[in-house]
Amino acid sequence: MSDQVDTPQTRQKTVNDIWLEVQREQTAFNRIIRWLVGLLIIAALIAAAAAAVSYFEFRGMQDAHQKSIQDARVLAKLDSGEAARERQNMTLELIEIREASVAARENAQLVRSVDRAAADGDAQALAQLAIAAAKDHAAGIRLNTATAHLVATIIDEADTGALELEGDGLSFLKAIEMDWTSPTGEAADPLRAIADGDDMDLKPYAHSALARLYYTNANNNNLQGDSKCDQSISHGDTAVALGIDAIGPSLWKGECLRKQGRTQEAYRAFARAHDWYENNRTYADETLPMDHIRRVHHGVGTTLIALAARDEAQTVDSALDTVTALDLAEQHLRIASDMRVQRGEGRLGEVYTAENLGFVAVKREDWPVALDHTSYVDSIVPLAWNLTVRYIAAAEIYQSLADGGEAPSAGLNRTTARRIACDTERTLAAMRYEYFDEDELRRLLPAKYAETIDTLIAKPKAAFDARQLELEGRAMHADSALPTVLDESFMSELCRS
Amino acid sequence: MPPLTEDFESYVLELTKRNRRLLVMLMATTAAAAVALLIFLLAQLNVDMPYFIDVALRGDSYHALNAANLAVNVAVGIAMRVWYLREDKMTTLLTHAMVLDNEKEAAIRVLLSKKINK
Repeated sequence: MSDQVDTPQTRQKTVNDIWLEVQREQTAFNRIIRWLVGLLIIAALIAAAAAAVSYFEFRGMQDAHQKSIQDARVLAKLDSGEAARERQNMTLELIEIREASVAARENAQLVRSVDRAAADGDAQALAQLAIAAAKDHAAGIRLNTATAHLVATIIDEADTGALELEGDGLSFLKAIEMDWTSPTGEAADPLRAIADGDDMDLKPYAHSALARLYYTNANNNNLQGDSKCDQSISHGDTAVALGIDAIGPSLWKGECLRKQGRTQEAYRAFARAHDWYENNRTYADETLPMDHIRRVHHGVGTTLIALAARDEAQTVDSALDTVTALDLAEQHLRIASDMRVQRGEGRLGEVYTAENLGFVAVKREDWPVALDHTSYVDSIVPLAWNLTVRYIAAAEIYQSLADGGEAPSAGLNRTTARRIACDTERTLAAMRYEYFDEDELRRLLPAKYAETIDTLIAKPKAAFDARQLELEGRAMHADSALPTVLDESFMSELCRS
Repeated sequence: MPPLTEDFESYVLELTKRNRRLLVMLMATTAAAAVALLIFLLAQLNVDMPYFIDVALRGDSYHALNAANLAVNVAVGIAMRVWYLREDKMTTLLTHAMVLDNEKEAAIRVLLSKKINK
């Protein structure tokens, strides 16, 4: 036994002390193991959260990538459509040049006769021919190089006193020549003077020429707010009232009224032009430009669709119920689109008219036909009206399938219908608002689709308004404030993901 | 750390001291992991954060998750180190007890076995 006092510092450890310490250590060891397990659980949770975050992050990136691809597809499609439009404009100009050249070739003999008569001092014999050519010009059959040469020669002869023309003949020829050389409106004053004069033979033609002049110079994009269109209608009516026997005044009146939304009156004007064509078919087929006749058919067909869309066809003709009106409209539009092909406008020209057949299918609620037809048109060029019809058809099919209806054709299920509708909506969202011609589009579709149109044009309209503000200098860089093509705030309920 | 001699007590004391330091670090890293995880969850719920956290996150809550991951991994490493030190301490204590009981041969066996297991 030691003499030393046992203190905690000096006392030697016994086995028992160590045993107690080992026990404490074991308890602490258990605690650290539990802690470790807890930490491992937290680590697993963090790993799971990281995996989830990465998954959503990658899915978002994948979605954005898909949307970029769709964006690019839409823009490429619209770019190719723009290019096709430009090509078509050039084609139309070439066709007009070709038509003028064909007309001049057909009148080549006339040039020689005019030159011979002028040399012989015998131009009086050709004066009536010149007046007739000028009247044709006023009624819509434009002068060509040969008939213009005739008119110019007669004017020269009359100016030198070599021949005399009755009444306002000379002024009329001069006004018509002016109208041919510069169709922007300089001829309006001399023509108005003749229209206000007493020469009852030329008076209706002066009115007709004025009607054509104002119609040509009216702003095609905004005929509703354009007084020129009203003046064209007024002069055309006067020409008809004075007994002019021509298709032109009715045709221009119909075009103006159609754009102004006066559908019933427009239909009557087009129908009168069509009746004139049917009554003078031989003459018209030989002399009238094919485009005139095509526009008459197009006008009759389109106004009939607008009337049928509101079930108003019987207001213009008691024999026309909605079904008959649609059948008739289809016939006229098919004739018009065939004429475009015959004229050399190609498939693009054809679908410019044929796209309106989609509205017939909408009114008939024949959705598979509407889908097939719009698919054909869209394969040639993306057109706003055609795509609107396509969206409506796909959305109707989707809704019908959702309500338990049968698929209208094999391979068309809800997913496909939704995809078609949403792809179409995306393309429409990237289109220019001007292409929609909103007012006429609303007239051609049944009233129940008004909200659908609102949704489809929301984005193009917002872009248009922003551009307008920018043009007016009230906003800078409006494009940067615009939503992207796929901005969901502009999407229909069907297509919001 | 001094080499293991017959002065078991100072060796055990040194192990205890180290253990304490490691435990403080373990608690700190665990707390850091918990806070980072909490920030991540709050960010997911679009809860407004104090300015300095916003700056630290640089607009991406994923950074908080990365921080939590780092902290918890460091904590696991520290916990494993504590585990080994405690094991070492218990072995040393048992060896000390055997020496006190004059079971030196057994003590040597335990130490050798510990050495071999390491």
